[in-house]
Amino acid sequence: VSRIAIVLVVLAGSCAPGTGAAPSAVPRAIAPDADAGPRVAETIVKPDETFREHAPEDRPAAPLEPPSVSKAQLSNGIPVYIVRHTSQLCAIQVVAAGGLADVRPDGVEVINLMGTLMHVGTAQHSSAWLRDTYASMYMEEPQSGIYPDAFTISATAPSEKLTSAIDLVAEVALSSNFPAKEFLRTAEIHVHALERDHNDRARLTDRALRRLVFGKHPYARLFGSVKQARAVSRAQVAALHARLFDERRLTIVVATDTPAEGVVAKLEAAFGNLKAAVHSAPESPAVSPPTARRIMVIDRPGESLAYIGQALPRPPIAAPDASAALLAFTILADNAVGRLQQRLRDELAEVPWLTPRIVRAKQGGMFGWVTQVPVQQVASVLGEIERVVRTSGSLPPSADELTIAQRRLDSWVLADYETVANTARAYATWLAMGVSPEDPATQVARYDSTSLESVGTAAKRYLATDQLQTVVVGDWKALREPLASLGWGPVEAVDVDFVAIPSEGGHGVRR
Amino acid sequence: MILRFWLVVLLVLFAGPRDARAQAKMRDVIGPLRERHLANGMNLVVREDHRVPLASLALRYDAGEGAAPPNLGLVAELTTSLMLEKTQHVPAGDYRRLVARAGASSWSDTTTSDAIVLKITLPAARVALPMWLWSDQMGFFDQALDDAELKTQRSVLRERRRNRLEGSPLGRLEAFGEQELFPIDHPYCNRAGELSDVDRIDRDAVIAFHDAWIAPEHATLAVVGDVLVDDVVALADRYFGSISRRDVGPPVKRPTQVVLDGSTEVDILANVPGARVAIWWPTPAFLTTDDGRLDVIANLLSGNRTAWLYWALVDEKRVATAVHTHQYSRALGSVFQVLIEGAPGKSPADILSEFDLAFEGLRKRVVRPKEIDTAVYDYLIDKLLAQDSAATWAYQYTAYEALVGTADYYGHDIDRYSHITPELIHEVIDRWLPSDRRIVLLVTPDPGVVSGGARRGKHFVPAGTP
Repeated sequence: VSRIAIVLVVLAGSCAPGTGAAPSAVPRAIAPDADAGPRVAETIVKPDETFREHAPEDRPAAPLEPPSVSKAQLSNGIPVYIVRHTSQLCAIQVVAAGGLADVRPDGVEVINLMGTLMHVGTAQHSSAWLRDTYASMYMEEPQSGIYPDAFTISATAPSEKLTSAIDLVAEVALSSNFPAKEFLRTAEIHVHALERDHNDRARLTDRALRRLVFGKHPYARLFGSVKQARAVSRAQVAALHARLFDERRLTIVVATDTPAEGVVAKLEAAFGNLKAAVHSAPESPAVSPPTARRIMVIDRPGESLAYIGQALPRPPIAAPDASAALLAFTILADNAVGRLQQRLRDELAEVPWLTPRIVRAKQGGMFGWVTQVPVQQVASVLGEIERVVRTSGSLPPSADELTIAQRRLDSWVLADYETVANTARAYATWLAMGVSPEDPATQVARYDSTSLESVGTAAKRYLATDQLQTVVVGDWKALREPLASLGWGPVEAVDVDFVAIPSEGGHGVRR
Repeated sequence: MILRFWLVVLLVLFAGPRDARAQAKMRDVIGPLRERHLANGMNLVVREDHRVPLASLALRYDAGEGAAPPNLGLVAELTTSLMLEKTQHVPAGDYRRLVARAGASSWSDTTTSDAIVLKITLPAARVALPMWLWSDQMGFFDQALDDAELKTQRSVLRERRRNRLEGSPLGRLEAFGEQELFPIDHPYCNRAGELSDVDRIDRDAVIAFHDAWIAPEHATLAVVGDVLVDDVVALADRYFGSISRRDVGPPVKRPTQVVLDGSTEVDILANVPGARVAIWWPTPAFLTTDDGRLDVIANLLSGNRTAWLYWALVDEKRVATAVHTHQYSRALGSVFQVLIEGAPGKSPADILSEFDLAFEGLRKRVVRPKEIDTAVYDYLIDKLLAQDSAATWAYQYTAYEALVGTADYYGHDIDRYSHITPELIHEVIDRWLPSDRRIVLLVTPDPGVVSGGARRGKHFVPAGTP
């Protein structure tokens, strides 16, 4: 029996059923001979049974039992949360508060590059040693995550390897030393990836929407220019790392089946020696929502399709009406049954797809959506979207719409607990936003108890077209007149680096 | 490395009491795999997983665009869209509304050249709903099909296709490659064609496709989650068991392995910042032994740990900024793909020339077993981590059941990645990636060209030509 098969089948445990005799790998539905011509179907179905007339009974869903969470504190004060999850795998998340707020407006590439460079070597071990070790354990390579309020290092590993996995994640988080030899090569690879981002319409749209919604706030920082990336020094990366991975900023989440006491002891051994420096996390200021509607075109000459993104400011995660606002947005723009999708995709067939884009964060986030249409349809699609959004502010949601939205949001909470990696990530994300670990357990109840009136009020407040921010990535020459005809005010035209394109009717923005 | 690997195996097999308890706990919440075959030929796969009150379902019809008549590309996708929109007992638009109302966290439909797959994850108590909806699509579709809906869905499909072809600077690259790689009568020869192809699909074509393929004998349903096997079997019998098998349409001819008789170089213009070169070879079908070995070779050429081709072209020769390699596995024949993004100022010819030199060198390169181990890890790690999700299992079971006749195939699938020796790597490269039998797509930057790219010309060089 193969060594790998043994490892994986055992790791997957009962998930992987016993293997039977190996059949031949020949697609079964494909006949060897196709000489027979089409035949006429005989009676295709039996007469209708009565159960077919109506959808099955809408049985109540089983209540969610959130996993038990044990909180502890390491000797140096780092809070740790052990989330119980039955799995053959375990997941670790190290959350460092701050991140985007620690870099200058033109310094976002320092944190982006740090996220990559943390995996190319530590004070103890080379990148090659680390990677060989992950492979030998069948552990996921640790991943960096950059969120509006935190930077994270995470990994998933077989449960049996929890101790080693904690040690390795701690080593990467605390001892990355950004070896000079790897720095130049990794920075070069990073720059090439960034150049690709500048040609990726979806990424460009996300970047522009954040700038329009968040303005000068740190949440606006997603990725910078190639020039900014090339200017990043190893010393800047090391300094940022030292600031972020300070015991005053860290929180650790482990999702596992292992009893909490044992896990805490392992975390103490791996993280307990970290001493405080002077780097408490800077508090992100409150987001100042945009006060006026703006429309920006990122010029991509000659393209037949245009990528559209629109967004509105979202309240802070702990705002009293945060749940009502999210329900209102779900009614407006849910991927399946949102009012926008029903009107533009299902009734008018003007867009092939329309997908929501959400940013949630401690100080305020973003409600948005993206789509892609032929250049000549951009103005009519934007006009129709504007009408639907405006109507949503004045047309109260129906009881059925609210029920659907509540169930959609409930299901996402449930999905957060499905896998060990999702569970750890969900708790890490909540904690990064300053939400109590008890909060997620009450999330479903909060959605379900939100009234029609409060959702209607939130819709009026947060789904206001006078705050709508619009980005179109497409051919400026072809878009200029149709967009001007919308009467939404001046249209700003920029290149992929946000350098204003001076032209008649275009109003540039400064970088 | 191998010794360490065996140590891991031993540790996993003979772990201490805590791990034994953990194993026992897993057995308490996750049941064994159950397979049933309904009298009408439909396959049913169920596994209980009681960790969270969710269930994931996947329904696979073993017929995608490859099963469509040659002049009716996209009929499978259009049929799927129409089924999802309206059937005899499900009014227009209700499919989405009902599954959303049931609290589904995700659902999707995918039409590939091999299959149509419907997936959903929802609260387990409402598992009957997708079965009711999907069985209505299987048995009660024709009666609800009207011309207005057909027109609307054709329009939506046309725009979706436009998005795929023109939505990125090289959106047509795959179509250009498939046209050259596969013979005209092959199911993969660019069946999902141009926008105008959509207009050729009429009501009769849709109904013929549905009658032939959206039938119990071509269907596999898998349910994984917080359910009881007996309940799911009863529901499947109720909703699907009464739909008779069709046995109508012609079976898809299983094509023989594509063998090229030379190399074709295609010149393409695209609005990309730098030149690109793609090299494609026809390779064996999904789940075959060599298909697995080619997965590993792809990771040896440009994986996270070993990246022979990347090192040669990006680090040493500096003719490229990125190299991507991939074994694109499909049921009727796979394609090994290399995509090279050129460094500024490099032409497609420069890149191809350096690629050829580098690749010839790699054919003779000494392969270390450790490199193979890490390339295997690179390929398998995501697959392993995904096993924590019921949706992954549901989808995987339908694919195994449809392609090899049993859902119980995970161990055999994984076993393909064992026993790979340095000698086998060389053999497989020589067997499947010859330098004189391939398709080369040479992309030259041109900001003025149509979106998606345009083909300028091609030339053919017979195999064996010096």
